[in-house]
Amino acid sequence: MTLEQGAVAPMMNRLLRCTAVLLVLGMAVPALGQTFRYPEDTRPTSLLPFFAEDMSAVRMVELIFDSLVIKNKRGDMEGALATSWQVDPDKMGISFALREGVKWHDGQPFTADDVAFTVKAAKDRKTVFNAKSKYRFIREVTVTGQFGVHFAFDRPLSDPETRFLFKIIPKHAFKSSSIKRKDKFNRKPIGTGPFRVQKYSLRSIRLKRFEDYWGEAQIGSIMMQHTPDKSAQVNLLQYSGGKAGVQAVIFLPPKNIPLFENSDSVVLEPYHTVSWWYMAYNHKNKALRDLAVRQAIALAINREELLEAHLGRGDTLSGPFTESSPFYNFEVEPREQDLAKAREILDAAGYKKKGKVRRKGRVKLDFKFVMDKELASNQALFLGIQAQLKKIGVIARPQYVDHARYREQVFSRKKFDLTLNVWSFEEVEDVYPLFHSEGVMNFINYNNADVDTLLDTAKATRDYKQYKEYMKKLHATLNQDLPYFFLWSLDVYSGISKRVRNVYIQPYYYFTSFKEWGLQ
Amino acid sequence: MSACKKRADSEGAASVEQVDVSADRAAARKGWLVGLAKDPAALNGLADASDGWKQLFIGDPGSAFAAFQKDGATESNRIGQARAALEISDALDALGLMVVAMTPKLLKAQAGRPNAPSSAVERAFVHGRFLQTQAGGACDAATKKAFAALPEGAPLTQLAGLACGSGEPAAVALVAGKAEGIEAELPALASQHIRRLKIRTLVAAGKHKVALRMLRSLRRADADVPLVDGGFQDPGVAGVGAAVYAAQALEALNGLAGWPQILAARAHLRLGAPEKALAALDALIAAPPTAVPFALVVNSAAQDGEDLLAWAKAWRVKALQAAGRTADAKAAAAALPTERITMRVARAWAEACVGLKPATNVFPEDRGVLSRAIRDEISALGEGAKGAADVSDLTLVERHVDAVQRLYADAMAAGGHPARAVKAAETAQDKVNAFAPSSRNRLPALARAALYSLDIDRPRVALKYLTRLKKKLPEVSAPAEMLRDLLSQKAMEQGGDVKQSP
Repeated sequence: MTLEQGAVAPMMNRLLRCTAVLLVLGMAVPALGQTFRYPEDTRPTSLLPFFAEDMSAVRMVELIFDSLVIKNKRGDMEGALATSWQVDPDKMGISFALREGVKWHDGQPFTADDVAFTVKAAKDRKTVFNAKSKYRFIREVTVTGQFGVHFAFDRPLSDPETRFLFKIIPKHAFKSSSIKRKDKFNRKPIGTGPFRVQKYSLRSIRLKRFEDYWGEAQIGSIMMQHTPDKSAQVNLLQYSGGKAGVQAVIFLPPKNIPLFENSDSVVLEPYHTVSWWYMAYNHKNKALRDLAVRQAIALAINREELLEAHLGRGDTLSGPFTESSPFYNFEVEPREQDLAKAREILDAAGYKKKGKVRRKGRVKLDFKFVMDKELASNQALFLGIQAQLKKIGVIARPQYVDHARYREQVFSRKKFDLTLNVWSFEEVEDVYPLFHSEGVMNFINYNNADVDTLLDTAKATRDYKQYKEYMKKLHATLNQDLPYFFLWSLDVYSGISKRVRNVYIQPYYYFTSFKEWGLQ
Repeated sequence: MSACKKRADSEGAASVEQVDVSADRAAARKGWLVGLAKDPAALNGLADASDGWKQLFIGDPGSAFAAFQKDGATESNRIGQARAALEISDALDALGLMVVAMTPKLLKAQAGRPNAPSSAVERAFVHGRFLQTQAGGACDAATKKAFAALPEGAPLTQLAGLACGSGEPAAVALVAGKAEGIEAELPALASQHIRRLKIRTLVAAGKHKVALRMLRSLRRADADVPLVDGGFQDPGVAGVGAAVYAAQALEALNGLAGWPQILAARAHLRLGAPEKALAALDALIAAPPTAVPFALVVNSAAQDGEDLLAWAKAWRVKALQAAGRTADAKAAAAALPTERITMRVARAWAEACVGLKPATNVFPEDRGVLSRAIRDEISALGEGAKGAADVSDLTLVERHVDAVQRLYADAMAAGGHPARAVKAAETAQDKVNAFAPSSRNRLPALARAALYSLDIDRPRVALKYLTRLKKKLPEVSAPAEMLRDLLSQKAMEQGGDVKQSP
C-alpha cells in the first residue's frame, strides 16, 4: 500500500541538514515553519482598534485584541473575553460575565474596568474616529464586579450580543478616556489576543505568540510584510515553500485566479467582504460641481475594458450597492461608455475644446488625480482612465503619494480633484458617512439636500421595508447625481499555501480563527 | 545546545495529510475517466445522441431537459433527461429549504414593524404552517396552538382547518397534496397560493405535464400569503417545484431497469415515497448489472459500478430511515464499504441520514490528492491516449472531484458540521466564475452553497449566490427577497462600518 506523502520527505531532509549544521556550530536549532508570512498592500493605519480605518488594520487588530464575543464558524455567537451573558427581560440591557485569569500582553490582569473604559473612551467626545456611531446604542455601562459588566441600551434590542464584536483596550495604557490619533499605542498596542507585537518597522510588523494567552495559538509568529506591488505578492506566494515566500495573499486579483486554480501548492479560499471601487469627484472643484462634467466623465470611462486589462472579472456598478446588496436597485442600469454622448453633454454645457482640453470661461477640465501608490494596479488603471478622458478633452494629471500621505491629503485635507479607491463594508453597506453632507467620511464635499433627506428619513425609520425602499431610491439618486463614479466590485479570493492547515477565513475580519491555523 | 521546542506546529510534529488513494487509483484505471482518455468515442456518442448532453455539460439543465424531450427516447437520452430533471429538483429543493429556514426570522421581523397588527392573521397562519413542516406535515399541538390565534371565518383560517384535516374531504386532500384532492375548491386565497397547493396534488395524481405547466406559469416573486407590501411564502408548499421535477425524472426513467433505478430511487424519496425507493434499490443491489451506462456515470461522483453500488446502498440507508426503519438503516450504514474516497463519503452521508455524526476526514483536506491520483493514471497511459486532451480540455477530472466533494459537503451539512459543508461547497467551484453558474458550477451546487451559507449565518453570501443564479433559476426570487428583507432589518437596526481598501 503506498501512502501519499506530499512534501514531507524533502522537507524533513532539509530540516535534518539544517539541524546538523546548526548543531555543529553550537547554535540553537530554530523551529522551522513557525512563522506565518503574509503581505499587505498598505501598512495598517493604526493598531489602536478605534483608529483601524483600513482593512489591513482591521485584519491585524483581529490578531492582537479580543472582543467580548465572536461569531464562530457555525455562525453562532461564542464567548471570548466574556464567558456568558444574560439579556435583560425588557431587552433594554445585557450583563456579561467576564473570563477570569486573562492577561494583557504587558502582564496586567484584564478586568471589567477595561471593558467599561473601552466604551467610555469610544463615547468620549475627544476620541474622534469614524465608527463612533457603533457605540451609540449603549446608554450606560456599569461594572458589577471585578468580572462583571452591565450595558444599558437606548432602546430595546433583539440579539444584542451580536453588537459586542468591538475590541477591548486596556485602561491602564491610557491617561484618560480622550484618546488621540497620535497615541503611541497605535504602534505599541497592548491586547489580550493570541499575538502581541514584537517588532514594528516601516516594512513589516512581526507578531509573536502570546505565551499567556487564555486560549492557544498553533503558529509561533506572524510576519506581515508591506508589499504594495501585487505582482510581487503573487510571486512570493508561488514560491511559498521557499525562505522568502509567503503563506497567504489576502486578495488575489481575479486575473491571477487561473494561475492557482489547480495548483499543487496553493489553495484558493474566498474572502467574503462587501467592497467596491470608485472614482471620487471633489465637489469643491467648480467644474466637478457641474453635473454635466461628472456625467461626461462617467460616460467616457470604459469600465469593462479597464477590468479586463488590469484586474480581471468584476461586476460594474450603478450605485453604492453591489448586486448582492438588499438595497441594489435593479431598475437602474449601469452606464456604458459612450464617448459621443459625453462630448455632446460637454458641448451643450458650454465646455468647448481649446487645444487638448475643454474650457468654459476660466474653468478648465484639467484635474489633479491623486492616487494611493499602494492601491493594486493603480498606475495601470490611472493610465487607462487618463487615456479615456483625453478622448473627450478632459485632462487628468497624476499625483502618486504613499498611503499615509494619501489619507492625510485626500481624506483629511481634501486636496484633490479626482481619486480612485476602494471601500469595504461589514455585512451591509452603511453609506450615510460617505454621502450625507455631515457624514464623517464625506471627504468629497458632497452636499445634496435630497440625499440628506433620504438618508435622514431612512435612519429615522423603524420599518425595514421602508428602509429598504429608501436605500433603493438612494441608489437611483446617487446613480443620477454621481457624487462618485461607482466603478465595480470584485470577488475576493485569498491564495493560501497548502502548508497552512485548518484555514477558516472569517468574512470581513479574516483572522478571527487564526489561532486554530497550523503550519507544516 | 538547546532542545527543539515541541509545539503543535513544529516541523515534523504535525504530519502531512496521508491519504491512501491506492484503491482510488485502481478504480480510476478501470473507470470512465481513464476509459475516455483511452478512447473518447463514448463521449462523442452522447453528444451525437442529443443536444441535451451538451446543455447538461455546460450547466444548463433546463435547456438540457427540453432537448432530451425532443431528441428521442433512447436509454442514454432518458437517463440524461432524468439527470437534468433531478438537477433542477435538487436546486429547487435547496431553495425550498431556505424559505422554510428563513420563515421564523421573517415572522419575527414582520412582527417588529410598526404596522405589525395588520399582519397578525397572516403571521399566525404562516407560523402554524412552519410548525407543521417541522412536525413532518402533522398537525401537532404546537401547530394547532398557532392556528388557534386565527379569527373565525377568514379564508386563511379555513385553510388552516383544512391543513389540520378539518373540512370537506377533497379540500383536505388538496391541501395535503393528495391525488384525491384534484377537483377540490379552496377558499378565497391568493391565486399563486392556490396554484402551488394544486401543483402538489397534480403530481400525486400523475398529471406531471399539467403540474409542470402550472409551475412554469407561476409568478415566482409573488407571495403565497400577500400583505400590503410583500408577504410570505407558505412553508408547507416550499418544495413544490422540487417535487414536480422529481416526477419528471420518474417519467423519463419509466421502464428502465438496472442502474438507472438509482435515479428513480432519489426521485421517489423526493416525492415522499420511501417504500418505492426501497423496492427500486433492493432490486438493483440484489442483482447489479455488470454493464454500467456511460450516461449515468459521466460527470458524476462515481467512477464505475462499484462506486454506483456504494451510492445505491447509501441511498437505501436514507430510504430505510425515511420509512421509519431506523435500526435497519443504522445497520445498513455500518455495513457500507470504505475502500475508496467516494465510498467513505457515501458512508458519511448515510450515517448523517440516520442521525449519526459522521467522520469529517473522509474527504482529503487537499482535494488535489484525489485529482492527482486520477490524473496520474491518465498520464500513465502515455502518448497514445487519444482522449486525454478531451478529458483535460473539458476539465472532467476536476468535475468528477467536484461531484465527490459536493457530496462530502452534503454529508457534512447533514451531519452537523455546517462550516465544513460551506468550505467544501466553496472549494468545489470554478473560481473564475465565482459563485455563478458555469459548466462546473452546477445549479444545485450553487443553491446548496447558498443554503449552507445561510446555515452559518452568512445571509449576504447566500444572497450573492441567489442573485447570480437568477437568470438560470428564476425561482430564486422568493428566497432572495426574504434575504433582502432580513438584511434590511439588520442594516436598519445595527448600521455598519466602512473602511478603506480591499
